[in-house]
Amino acid sequence: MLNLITLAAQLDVGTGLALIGAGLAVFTGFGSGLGEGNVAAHAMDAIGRNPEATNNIRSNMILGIALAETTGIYGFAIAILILIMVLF
Amino acid sequence: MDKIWDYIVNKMPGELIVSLLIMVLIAIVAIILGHAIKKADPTKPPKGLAFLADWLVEFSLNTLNNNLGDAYDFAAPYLIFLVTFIPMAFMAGLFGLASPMTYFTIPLCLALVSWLGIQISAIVFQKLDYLKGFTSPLPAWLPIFVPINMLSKLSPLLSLSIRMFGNALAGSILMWLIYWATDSLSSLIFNNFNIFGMIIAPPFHAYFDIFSTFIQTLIFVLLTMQLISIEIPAPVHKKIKTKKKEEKQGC
Repeated sequence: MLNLITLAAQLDVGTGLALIGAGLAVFTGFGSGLGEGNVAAHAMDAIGRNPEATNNIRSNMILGIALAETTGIYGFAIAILILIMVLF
Repeated sequence: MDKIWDYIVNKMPGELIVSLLIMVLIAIVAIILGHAIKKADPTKPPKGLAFLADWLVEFSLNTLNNNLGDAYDFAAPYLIFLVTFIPMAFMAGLFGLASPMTYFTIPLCLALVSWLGIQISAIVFQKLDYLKGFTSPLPAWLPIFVPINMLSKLSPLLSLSIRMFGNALAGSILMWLIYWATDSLSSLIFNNFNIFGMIIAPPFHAYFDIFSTFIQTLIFVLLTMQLISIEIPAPVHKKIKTKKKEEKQGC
């Protein structure tokens, strides 16, 4: 922990702003989380209405969640890129 | 030859070595199983690993048939490879090895094979329409949208590879953070003995290594097949499926 504090004290303003940018990039997880929750909620609705189609709905739900997750992963990848560019 | 040997011994990243080891392991198991199954009595039910292999072949043929029709039966070995390689590569982190999925080359290569499968089947099924598709919303003599469409053809490659890479990397970074935190916490009590890590880490391993592994494998396989089935035009797809149904009724 002390190491991180001393590291932060040595950085200049531009680097700090870049790190804030990395934090903002990870914030895409907010939107993708909302989307994934929406997909799962509607899948539960569908299962409640039509329990025989559970298997079909489940595989489609996982596909939809994966597609919604993509944006979050992109944000994470960009944050990692910024961190690598700035700190190393 | 000396240079290659020097690279393998001194400079090769650990992730690549682990992935080669996994591939050698799969190859050895597959060869032994192949011999065992050839000699086995076909009238008796298979046992042990042979049963698993039998189930795997049947499962991959069934999923391919349900999603793409009979035309893709030749792709079953690739599906079996995905279903065995991706979980082992993800779970290498559990055994203290460097997980190959955190090295971008390996998910990129897996996604490249799937992407080539998508594009080649699009060319085979759509023929000239594939080239016309590049100018798609506008007529063929007005090629304004060609660069945008070329980028959109590349997007499955990026989304497939970055999804796996990002998930594996996020899992390994979070595990590293957990071990770091518990290590500094338990250094208040013991020297060099991570007692809090022993209690706190296992549930996180169960999520990031085991659960995430199965979800990612399922997603990769399902997405590959869905992306291929999008490229097959609807009439051809329908014809393949009805043919299959007729054959089933005939039996």
